[in-house]
Amino acid sequence: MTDKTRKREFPYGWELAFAWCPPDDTAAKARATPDAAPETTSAEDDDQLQVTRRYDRMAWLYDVYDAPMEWLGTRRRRRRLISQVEGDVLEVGVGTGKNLPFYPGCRHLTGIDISERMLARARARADRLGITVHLQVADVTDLPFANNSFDTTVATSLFCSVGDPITGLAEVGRVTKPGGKILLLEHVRPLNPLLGWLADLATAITRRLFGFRANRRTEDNIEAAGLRIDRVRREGVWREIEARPGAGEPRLANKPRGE
Amino acid sequence: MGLDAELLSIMQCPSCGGSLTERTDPHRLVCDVCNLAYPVRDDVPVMLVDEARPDA
Repeated sequence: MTDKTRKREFPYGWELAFAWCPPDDTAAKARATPDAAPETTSAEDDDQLQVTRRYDRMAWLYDVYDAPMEWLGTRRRRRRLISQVEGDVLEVGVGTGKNLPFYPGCRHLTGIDISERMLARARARADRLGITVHLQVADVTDLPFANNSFDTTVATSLFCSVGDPITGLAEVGRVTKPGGKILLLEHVRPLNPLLGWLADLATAITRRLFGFRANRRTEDNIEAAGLRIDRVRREGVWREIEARPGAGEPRLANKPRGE
Repeated sequence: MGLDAELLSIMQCPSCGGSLTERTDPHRLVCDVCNLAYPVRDDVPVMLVDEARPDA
């Protein structure tokens, strides 16, 4: 990677602190310069590629920069959410595997993430904990599983980062068995209009620096994706959501709300 | 050959929805319908259409 390329890739000073990438990153390099570079067809694809690259770059430091959120209660919420899983489980956006310690010996655990480097950390963590988990690189908006494959599907702090959350949520609904559980922990756009406006402003920064949006209306998106919400626990901007696949077709024509 | 058989049975091609067959040298999953080959690196299948190539 030339200095010039590096400069183009890191236009934001602060991101340098999170974005240093060891030179042996063959996976990210392969993705950055594929044999036959696929044409980017839409802003959405481009957006998703940026997210992938960002998480590939940040993987080594992700758990460190996420630590303050953990101290502020995210860990407790994740533990509480995951205590509800049943049967065969899929976690989408498994990341560095921070949820792995909370799975209470479920029968069959599968985890996917768009970033290969995040998954490498999840693998190391699973080995450390002695947990069997099947890991795959995959895109939540295009899941490589048949319909009705899992009893429970879990995502924590994922749909703030996905370019097309409604399609992703509809895919989660598709692979979850009828009567199965969809367990989500997400932060959302504040309901208070002033705070909501501030979240819109903050998103301009968080999106660039960390790849997530502070103003996602995830509850609306869940319903737009055709899922049914059974229960929501609200704490500030955090939502612990238990949903299930809907009977009807998702209304995919809807645009994601809140950016 | 290292992928879990039960998992493989519920997997499908993210491009066309076809079923997948595991092959070696190099380790990959090939779609029975559209013949796209998805690489398996360190026992981790890379199920991204952008990373798949038609199988030789």
